Amino acid sequence: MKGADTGILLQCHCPGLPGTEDPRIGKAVKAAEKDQQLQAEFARQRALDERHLAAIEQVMLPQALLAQLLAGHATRNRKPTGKAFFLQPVVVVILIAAGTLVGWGGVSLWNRLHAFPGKDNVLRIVEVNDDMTGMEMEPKKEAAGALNDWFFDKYGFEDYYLPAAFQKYQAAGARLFKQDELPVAQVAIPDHNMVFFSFKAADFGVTLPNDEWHIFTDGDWVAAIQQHDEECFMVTFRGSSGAMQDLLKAK
Amino acid sequence: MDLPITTEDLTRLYRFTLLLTGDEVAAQQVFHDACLESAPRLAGYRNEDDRIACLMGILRQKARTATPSGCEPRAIARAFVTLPEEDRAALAGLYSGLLSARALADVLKMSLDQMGRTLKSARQRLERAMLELGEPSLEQTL
Repeated sequence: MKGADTGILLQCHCPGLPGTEDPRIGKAVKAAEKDQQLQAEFARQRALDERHLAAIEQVMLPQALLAQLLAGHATRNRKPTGKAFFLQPVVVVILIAAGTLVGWGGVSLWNRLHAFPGKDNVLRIVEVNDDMTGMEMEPKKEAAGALNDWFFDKYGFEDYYLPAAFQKYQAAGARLFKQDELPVAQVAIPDHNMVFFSFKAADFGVTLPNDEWHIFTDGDWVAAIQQHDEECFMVTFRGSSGAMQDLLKAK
Repeated sequence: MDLPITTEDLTRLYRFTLLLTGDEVAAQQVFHDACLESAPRLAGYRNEDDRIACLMGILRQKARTATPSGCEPRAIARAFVTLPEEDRAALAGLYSGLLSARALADVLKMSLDQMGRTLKSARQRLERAMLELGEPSLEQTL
Protein backbone atom coordinates (compact mmCIF):
# COMPACT_ATOMS: atom_id res chain seq x y z
CA MET A 1 0.00 0.00 0.00
CA LYS A 2 1.44 3.41 -1.00
CA GLY A 3 1.93 6.13 1.60
CA ALA A 4 -0.60 8.44 -0.10
CA ASP A 5 -3.24 5.69 -0.18
CA THR A 6 -2.54 4.88 3.45
CA GLY A 7 -2.93 8.54 4.42
CA ILE A 8 -6.31 8.76 2.63
CA LEU A 9 -7.61 5.51 4.10
CA LEU A 10 -6.53 6.58 7.60
CA GLN A 11 -9.02 9.41 7.24
CA CYS A 12 -11.79 6.78 7.30
CA HIS A 13 -10.67 5.62 10.73
CA CYS A 14 -12.04 7.08 13.92
CA PRO A 15 -11.12 5.93 17.45
CA GLY A 16 -13.73 3.77 19.12
CA LEU A 17 -15.90 3.66 15.99
CA PRO A 18 -16.37 0.72 13.65
CA GLY A 19 -14.18 2.12 10.84
CA THR A 20 -11.43 -0.43 11.39
CA GLU A 21 -13.83 -3.23 10.45
CA ASP A 22 -12.79 -2.69 6.85
CA PRO A 23 -9.63 -4.68 6.05
CA ARG A 24 -8.13 -1.89 3.90
CA ILE A 25 -8.47 0.60 6.75
CA GLY A 26 -7.10 -1.94 9.22
CA LYS A 27 -4.05 -2.36 6.96
CA ALA A 28 -3.63 1.41 6.70
CA VAL A 29 -3.70 1.74 10.51
CA LYS A 30 -1.00 -0.96 10.80
CA ALA A 31 1.10 0.69 8.07
CA ALA A 32 0.85 4.05 9.85
CA GLU A 33 2.27 2.51 13.00
CA LYS A 34 5.47 1.72 11.07
CA ASP A 35 5.87 5.10 9.33
CA GLN A 36 7.08 7.97 11.50
CA GLN A 37 5.42 10.74 9.47
CA LEU A 38 2.11 8.94 9.12
CA GLN A 39 2.26 8.02 12.78
CA ALA A 40 2.48 11.69 13.77
CA GLU A 41 -0.33 12.72 11.39
CA PHE A 42 -2.48 9.85 12.61
CA ALA A 43 -1.88 10.72 16.27
CA ARG A 44 -2.94 14.31 15.55
CA GLN A 45 -6.05 13.12 13.70
CA ARG A 46 -6.98 10.88 16.63
CA ALA A 47 -6.51 13.69 19.12
CA LEU A 48 -8.73 16.00 17.06
CA ASP A 49 -11.37 13.31 16.63
CA GLU A 50 -11.39 12.59 20.35
CA ARG A 51 -11.93 16.27 21.07
CA HIS A 52 -14.76 16.56 18.56
CA LEU A 53 -16.36 13.31 19.74
CA ALA A 54 -16.29 14.50 23.35
CA ALA A 55 -18.32 17.54 22.29
CA ILE A 56 -20.68 15.52 20.08
CA GLU A 57 -21.35 12.90 22.75
CA GLN A 58 -22.80 15.58 24.98
CA VAL A 59 -25.70 15.86 22.55
CA MET A 60 -28.57 13.66 23.72
CA LEU A 61 -31.82 12.82 22.01
CA PRO A 62 -34.43 15.04 23.71
CA GLN A 63 -36.68 12.78 25.80
CA ALA A 64 -39.77 14.70 24.70
CA LEU A 65 -38.92 14.00 21.07
CA LEU A 66 -38.32 10.31 21.78
CA ALA A 67 -41.60 10.07 23.67
CA GLN A 68 -43.38 11.83 20.82
CA LEU A 69 -41.91 9.40 18.28
CA LEU A 70 -42.77 6.33 20.31
CA ALA A 71 -46.29 7.61 20.90
CA GLY A 72 -46.64 8.29 17.17
CA HIS A 73 -47.83 11.84 17.73
CA ALA A 74 -47.62 13.60 14.43
CA THR A 75 -47.20 17.34 14.23
CA ARG A 76 -48.48 17.61 10.71
CA ASN A 77 -51.24 20.09 11.52
CA ARG A 78 -48.92 23.08 11.51
CA LYS A 79 -49.25 25.70 8.80
CA PRO A 80 -47.26 24.88 5.67
CA THR A 81 -44.92 27.86 5.67
CA GLY A 82 -41.19 28.07 4.99
CA LYS A 83 -39.53 24.70 5.48
CA ALA A 84 -42.88 23.04 6.09
CA PHE A 85 -43.84 23.92 2.55
CA PHE A 86 -41.09 21.60 1.33
CA LEU A 87 -42.46 18.85 3.56
CA GLN A 88 -45.90 18.90 1.93
CA PRO A 89 -46.68 15.55 0.25
CA VAL A 90 -46.92 17.05 -3.25
CA VAL A 91 -43.60 18.87 -2.88
CA VAL A 92 -41.97 15.79 -1.33
CA VAL A 93 -43.18 13.74 -4.31
CA ILE A 94 -41.67 16.28 -6.71
CA LEU A 95 -38.37 16.30 -4.77
CA ILE A 96 -38.30 12.50 -4.68
CA ALA A 97 -39.02 12.38 -8.41
CA ALA A 98 -36.17 14.84 -9.09
CA GLY A 99 -33.85 12.80 -6.87
CA THR A 100 -34.94 9.64 -8.62
CA LEU A 101 -34.05 11.13 -12.00
CA VAL A 102 -30.59 12.09 -10.74
CA GLY A 103 -30.07 8.67 -9.16
CA TRP A 104 -31.41 6.87 -12.20
CA GLY A 105 -28.17 7.30 -14.14
CA GLY A 106 -26.10 5.58 -11.45
CA VAL A 107 -28.65 2.86 -10.88
CA SER A 108 -28.99 2.10 -14.57
CA LEU A 109 -25.21 1.86 -14.93
CA TRP A 110 -25.04 -0.51 -11.94
CA ASN A 111 -27.86 -2.60 -13.36
CA ARG A 112 -26.23 -2.70 -16.80
CA LEU A 113 -23.13 -4.15 -15.18
CA HIS A 114 -25.35 -6.81 -13.59
CA ALA A 115 -27.41 -7.53 -16.70
CA PHE A 116 -28.22 -11.00 -17.97
CA PRO A 117 -30.56 -12.39 -20.63
CA GLY A 118 -34.18 -12.22 -19.45
CA LYS A 119 -33.48 -9.72 -16.69
CA ASP A 120 -36.33 -7.39 -17.76
CA ASN A 121 -38.80 -10.26 -17.36
CA VAL A 122 -37.32 -11.19 -13.99
CA LEU A 123 -37.57 -7.58 -12.78
CA ARG A 124 -41.30 -7.69 -13.48
CA ILE A 125 -41.53 -10.80 -11.33
CA VAL A 126 -39.74 -8.99 -8.46
CA GLU A 127 -42.17 -6.08 -8.84
CA VAL A 128 -45.05 -8.46 -8.09
CA ASN A 129 -43.88 -8.15 -4.45
CA ASP A 130 -44.97 -4.52 -4.35
CA ASP A 131 -48.55 -5.37 -5.26
CA MET A 132 -48.92 -8.17 -2.72
CA THR A 133 -51.03 -7.89 0.40
CA GLY A 134 -50.28 -11.44 1.58
CA MET A 135 -53.91 -12.46 1.08
CA GLU A 136 -53.11 -13.88 -2.36
CA MET A 137 -51.10 -16.69 -0.78
CA GLU A 138 -52.40 -19.97 0.52
CA PRO A 139 -51.18 -20.50 4.11
CA LYS A 140 -48.46 -23.19 4.14
CA LYS A 141 -46.67 -23.87 7.42
CA GLU A 142 -43.93 -26.20 6.31
CA ALA A 143 -40.36 -26.16 5.04
CA ALA A 144 -40.08 -24.39 1.68
CA GLY A 145 -38.19 -27.39 0.30
CA ALA A 146 -41.17 -29.65 1.02
CA LEU A 147 -43.57 -27.77 -1.24
CA ASN A 148 -42.53 -29.64 -4.38
CA ASP A 149 -45.41 -32.11 -4.22
CA TRP A 150 -47.91 -29.40 -3.31
CA PHE A 151 -47.03 -27.34 -6.39
CA PHE A 152 -47.28 -30.43 -8.58
CA ASP A 153 -50.51 -31.81 -7.06
CA LYS A 154 -52.32 -28.48 -6.98
CA TYR A 155 -51.04 -26.82 -10.17
CA GLY A 156 -49.24 -29.52 -12.14
CA PHE A 157 -46.13 -27.34 -11.81
CA GLU A 158 -42.97 -29.41 -12.22
CA ASP A 159 -40.32 -26.68 -12.21
CA TYR A 160 -40.24 -25.84 -8.51
CA TYR A 161 -36.58 -25.70 -7.52
CA LEU A 162 -34.82 -24.51 -4.37
CA PRO A 163 -31.06 -24.73 -3.73
CA ALA A 164 -30.30 -27.01 -0.77
CA ALA A 165 -29.35 -24.08 1.49
CA PHE A 166 -32.83 -22.55 1.14
CA GLN A 167 -34.92 -25.68 1.57
CA LYS A 168 -35.14 -25.56 5.37
CA TYR A 169 -36.70 -22.11 5.61
CA GLN A 170 -40.22 -22.31 7.02
CA ALA A 171 -42.85 -21.02 4.61
CA ALA A 172 -45.85 -18.95 5.69
CA GLY A 173 -47.69 -19.08 2.38
CA ALA A 174 -47.32 -20.10 -1.23
CA ARG A 175 -49.03 -19.77 -4.58
CA LEU A 176 -48.54 -20.17 -8.30
CA PHE A 177 -49.26 -17.11 -10.42
CA LYS A 178 -49.04 -16.42 -14.12
CA GLN A 179 -46.68 -13.83 -15.55
CA ASP A 180 -47.40 -13.35 -19.26
CA GLU A 181 -49.44 -16.59 -19.07
CA LEU A 182 -46.38 -18.47 -17.78
CA PRO A 183 -46.25 -20.10 -14.33
CA VAL A 184 -44.18 -18.75 -11.44
CA ALA A 185 -44.07 -20.33 -7.97
CA GLN A 186 -43.91 -17.85 -5.11
CA VAL A 187 -43.27 -18.66 -1.45
CA ALA A 188 -43.40 -16.22 1.48
CA ILE A 189 -40.78 -16.78 4.18
CA PRO A 190 -41.31 -14.96 7.50
CA ASP A 191 -37.59 -15.12 8.29
CA HIS A 192 -36.38 -11.61 7.36
CA ASN A 193 -39.49 -11.15 5.17
CA MET A 194 -38.00 -13.05 2.25
CA VAL A 195 -39.94 -14.07 -0.84
CA PHE A 196 -38.78 -16.99 -2.97
CA PHE A 197 -39.63 -17.45 -6.64
CA SER A 198 -39.09 -20.45 -8.86
CA PHE A 199 -39.81 -20.74 -12.58
CA LYS A 200 -38.64 -22.33 -15.78
CA ALA A 201 -35.65 -20.36 -17.13
CA ALA A 202 -36.64 -20.68 -20.80
CA ASP A 203 -40.15 -19.29 -20.12
CA PHE A 204 -38.62 -15.90 -19.30
CA GLY A 205 -35.61 -16.00 -21.60
CA VAL A 206 -33.19 -16.38 -18.68
CA THR A 207 -29.78 -17.84 -19.45
CA LEU A 208 -27.25 -17.97 -16.63
CA PRO A 209 -24.23 -20.15 -15.87
CA ASN A 210 -25.40 -23.09 -13.79
CA ASP A 211 -25.63 -22.49 -10.02
CA GLU A 212 -24.01 -19.03 -10.20
CA TRP A 213 -25.63 -16.21 -8.22
CA HIS A 214 -26.53 -12.89 -9.82
CA ILE A 215 -27.54 -10.07 -7.49
CA PHE A 216 -29.52 -7.03 -8.61
CA THR A 217 -31.74 -4.39 -7.07
CA ASP A 218 -35.14 -3.01 -7.97
CA GLY A 219 -36.35 -0.08 -5.86
CA ASP A 220 -36.27 -1.14 -2.20
CA TRP A 221 -35.89 -4.77 -3.22
CA VAL A 222 -32.74 -6.78 -3.68
CA ALA A 223 -32.81 -10.10 -5.51
CA ALA A 224 -30.39 -12.95 -6.09
CA ILE A 225 -31.11 -15.36 -8.90
CA GLN A 226 -29.48 -18.58 -10.00
CA GLN A 227 -30.26 -21.09 -12.73
CA HIS A 228 -29.99 -24.79 -12.07
CA ASP A 229 -30.38 -26.82 -15.26
CA GLU A 230 -33.77 -25.72 -16.66
CA GLU A 231 -35.10 -24.05 -13.51
CA CYS A 232 -34.45 -20.71 -11.88
CA PHE A 233 -34.57 -19.86 -8.20
CA MET A 234 -34.73 -16.28 -6.96
CA VAL A 235 -34.68 -14.96 -3.39
CA THR A 236 -35.84 -11.38 -2.72
CA PHE A 237 -36.18 -9.11 0.30
CA ARG A 238 -36.11 -5.40 1.07
CA GLY A 239 -32.49 -4.40 1.60
CA SER A 240 -29.14 -3.75 0.01
CA SER A 241 -26.97 -5.85 -2.26
CA GLY A 242 -24.52 -6.02 0.69
CA ALA A 243 -27.17 -7.68 2.86
CA MET A 244 -27.85 -10.16 0.05
CA GLN A 245 -24.15 -10.94 -0.25
CA ASP A 246 -24.07 -11.55 3.51
CA LEU A 247 -27.03 -13.93 3.22
CA LEU A 248 -25.45 -15.89 0.35
CA LYS A 249 -22.06 -16.02 2.08
CA ALA A 250 -23.73 -17.52 5.14
CA LYS A 251 -25.04 -20.38 2.98
CA MET B 1 -44.98 4.34 16.15
CA ASP B 2 -42.91 1.18 15.87
CA LEU B 3 -39.31 2.19 15.11
CA PRO B 4 -37.11 -0.90 14.74
CA ILE B 5 -33.97 0.97 15.89
CA THR B 6 -32.49 1.00 19.39
CA THR B 7 -32.64 4.17 21.51
CA GLU B 8 -28.83 4.31 21.48
CA ASP B 9 -28.79 4.33 17.69
CA LEU B 10 -31.63 6.88 17.60
CA THR B 11 -29.45 9.12 19.78
CA ARG B 12 -26.54 8.69 17.35
CA LEU B 13 -28.88 9.46 14.43
CA TYR B 14 -30.08 12.58 16.21
CA ARG B 15 -26.45 13.72 16.65
CA PHE B 16 -25.93 13.12 12.92
CA THR B 17 -29.02 15.28 12.21
CA LEU B 18 -27.87 18.06 14.50
CA LEU B 19 -24.46 18.21 12.82
CA LEU B 20 -26.16 18.39 9.41
CA THR B 21 -28.61 21.14 10.32
CA GLY B 22 -26.50 22.96 12.92
CA ASP B 23 -29.71 23.92 14.71
CA GLU B 24 -31.45 22.01 17.50
CA VAL B 25 -35.00 23.08 16.61
CA ALA B 26 -34.51 22.28 12.92
CA ALA B 27 -32.78 19.00 13.84
CA GLN B 28 -35.72 17.91 15.97
CA GLN B 29 -38.22 18.70 13.21
CA VAL B 30 -36.14 16.92 10.55
CA PHE B 31 -35.61 13.93 12.83
CA HIS B 32 -39.28 13.70 13.74
CA ASP B 33 -40.48 13.95 10.14
CA ALA B 34 -37.88 11.48 8.85
CA CYS B 35 -38.76 8.89 11.50
CA LEU B 36 -42.45 9.32 10.83
CA GLU B 37 -42.00 8.97 7.09
CA SER B 38 -39.61 6.03 7.18
CA ALA B 39 -41.12 3.92 9.99
CA PRO B 40 -43.29 1.74 7.70
CA ARG B 41 -40.37 1.13 5.30
CA LEU B 42 -37.79 0.39 7.99
CA ALA B 43 -39.65 -2.67 9.24
CA GLY B 44 -39.22 -4.27 5.83
CA TYR B 45 -35.42 -4.08 5.85
CA ARG B 46 -33.49 -7.21 6.56
CA ASN B 47 -30.86 -5.92 8.96
CA GLU B 48 -30.06 -3.07 11.31
CA ASP B 49 -27.39 -1.52 9.07
CA ASP B 50 -29.81 -1.25 6.15
CA ARG B 51 -32.44 0.39 8.36
CA ILE B 52 -29.88 2.90 9.63
CA ALA B 53 -28.55 3.55 6.10
CA CYS B 54 -32.11 4.19 4.87
CA LEU B 55 -32.87 6.60 7.72
CA MET B 56 -29.52 8.40 7.31
CA GLY B 57 -30.31 8.99 3.63
CA ILE B 58 -33.73 10.44 4.47
CA LEU B 59 -32.29 12.61 7.26
CA ARG B 60 -29.64 13.97 4.92
CA GLN B 61 -32.22 14.74 2.25
CA LYS B 62 -34.50 16.52 4.72
CA ALA B 63 -31.64 18.40 6.40
CA ARG B 64 -30.78 19.99 3.04
CA THR B 65 -34.10 21.86 3.03
CA ALA B 66 -34.33 22.53 6.76
CA THR B 67 -34.72 26.16 7.80
CA PRO B 68 -32.62 27.30 10.79
CA SER B 69 -34.73 28.48 13.71
CA GLY B 70 -32.21 31.13 14.74
CA CYS B 71 -31.48 29.53 18.12
CA GLU B 72 -27.88 29.69 19.35
CA PRO B 73 -26.27 26.35 18.46
CA ARG B 74 -23.46 24.50 20.25
CA ALA B 75 -19.95 25.36 19.07
CA ILE B 76 -19.42 21.99 17.40
CA ALA B 77 -22.70 22.31 15.46
CA ARG B 78 -21.87 25.91 14.53
CA ALA B 79 -18.51 24.79 13.17
CA PHE B 80 -20.08 21.91 11.24
CA VAL B 81 -22.53 24.13 9.34
CA THR B 82 -19.61 26.05 7.83
CA LEU B 83 -18.51 22.89 5.96
CA PRO B 84 -19.71 22.10 2.42
CA GLU B 85 -22.68 19.72 2.60
CA GLU B 86 -20.74 16.71 1.31
CA ASP B 87 -17.92 17.21 3.85
CA ARG B 88 -20.47 17.74 6.62
CA ALA B 89 -22.42 14.59 5.78
CA ALA B 90 -19.26 12.46 5.59
CA LEU B 91 -17.74 13.65 8.88
CA ALA B 92 -21.09 13.71 10.71
CA GLY B 93 -21.68 10.17 9.44
CA LEU B 94 -18.26 9.02 10.62
CA TYR B 95 -18.60 10.68 14.02
CA SER B 96 -22.08 9.23 14.51
CA GLY B 97 -20.38 5.81 14.70
CA LEU B 98 -23.42 4.05 13.27
CA LEU B 99 -21.95 2.27 10.27
CA SER B 100 -18.65 0.80 9.20
CA ALA B 101 -16.62 3.03 6.89
CA ARG B 102 -17.51 0.88 3.89
CA ALA B 103 -21.26 1.04 4.65
CA LEU B 104 -21.03 4.79 5.25
CA ALA B 105 -19.31 5.26 1.88
CA ASP B 106 -22.23 3.38 0.28
CA VAL B 107 -24.74 5.70 1.97
CA LEU B 108 -22.77 8.71 0.74
CA LYS B 109 -22.53 7.12 -2.72
CA MET B 110 -18.73 7.37 -2.71
CA SER B 111 -15.84 4.95 -2.94
CA LEU B 112 -13.79 4.43 0.22
CA ASP B 113 -10.95 6.50 -1.30
CA GLN B 114 -13.31 9.34 -2.23
CA MET B 115 -14.69 9.30 1.29
CA GLY B 116 -11.14 9.43 2.69
CA ARG B 117 -10.39 12.54 0.64
CA THR B 118 -13.71 14.15 1.65
CA LEU B 119 -13.04 13.40 5.32
CA LYS B 120 -9.56 14.90 5.06
CA SER B 121 -10.97 18.14 3.69
CA ALA B 122 -13.78 18.08 6.29
CA ARG B 123 -11.40 17.63 9.22
CA GLN B 124 -9.18 20.48 8.02
CA ARG B 125 -12.15 22.82 7.53
CA LEU B 126 -13.67 21.84 10.87
CA GLU B 127 -10.43 22.53 12.71
CA ARG B 128 -10.19 25.97 11.07
CA ALA B 129 -13.84 26.71 11.88
CA MET B 130 -13.36 25.75 15.53
CA LEU B 131 -10.37 28.08 15.75
CA GLU B 132 -12.39 30.91 14.21
CA LEU B 133 -15.06 30.31 16.83
CA GLY B 134 -12.43 30.90 19.50
CA GLU B 135 -11.80 27.29 20.51
CA PRO B 136 -8.18 26.63 21.55
CA SER B 137 -6.00 24.89 18.96
CA LEU B 138 -5.07 21.25 19.45
CA GLU B 139 -1.47 22.24 20.17
CA GLN B 140 -2.64 24.61 22.90
CA THR B 141 -4.64 21.91 24.63
CA LEU B 142 -1.93 19.24 24.47
